[in-house]
Amino acid sequence: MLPLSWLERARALSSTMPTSSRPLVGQLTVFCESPVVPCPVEADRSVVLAGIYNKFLASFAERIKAIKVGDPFTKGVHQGPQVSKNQYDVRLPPLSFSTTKITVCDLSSASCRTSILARRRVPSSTLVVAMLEMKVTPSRCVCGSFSRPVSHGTHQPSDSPSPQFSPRPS
Amino acid sequence: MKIVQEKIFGLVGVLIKFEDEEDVIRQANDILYGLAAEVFTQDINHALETARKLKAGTAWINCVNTLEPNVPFGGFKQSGSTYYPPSPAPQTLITSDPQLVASWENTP
Repeated sequence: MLPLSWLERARALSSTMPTSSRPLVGQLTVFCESPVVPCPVEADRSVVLAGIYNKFLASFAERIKAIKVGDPFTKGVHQGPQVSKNQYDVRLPPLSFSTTKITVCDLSSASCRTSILARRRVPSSTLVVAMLEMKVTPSRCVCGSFSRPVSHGTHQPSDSPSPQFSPRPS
Repeated sequence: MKIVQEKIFGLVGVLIKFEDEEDVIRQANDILYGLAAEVFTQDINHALETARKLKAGTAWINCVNTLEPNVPFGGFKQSGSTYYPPSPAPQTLITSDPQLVASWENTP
């Protein structure tokens, strides 16, 4: 696929839509294409002029203390708790189970590592998370897709990678 | 300091003092990441001059998280290797100055 610019893609999209919905297309495209959703901008360092540092610090602390943490569905609460006892109890049993599974596979299978990581389908951290969620074994890593769970019924684990995951011919 | 140079990804704010412009540029760029930066000042000339020297993909002046659809979004160093949406000439953008977004309404 040719590398189209955002504007070109927006134009291409708008030309395929019915005329009545064209005014909306610009906005819709902006929403899909802009990095608003995965935007990881997080201001955690502030470099402050020495002359106003103390004043800034007092004002900053006052603002931070005003943040209300609690039930996110309650009015006036800015954010929910990061970790709750309930989450901990519910999440931990499957997590510990998956961890043992990961220790077993741990991407130690050479064929698994080369077929997946060499192709850079996913970064290694995402891979571990995906494995945590799906509890996959190395043989399934080679043959399965990470975008959906591997079906356990019909799938036959094999050491040879399927055509889907085979390395591209150079 | 480690807390200053690395990302905590937590609810922690770090305040650092600076004396002059050279000092603020040095301290602001002394980090592993460079996704975005914000400059707040009343002197707009000073703001533009400082923002251009920051090693960040986007430099906002007197505003935060103002994402414009026509401005490429990306980062320096470990904050990413390309701009989004992909540009026909991403290499030029990576090595050029940060994308500046300024707001004149929120001037302190």
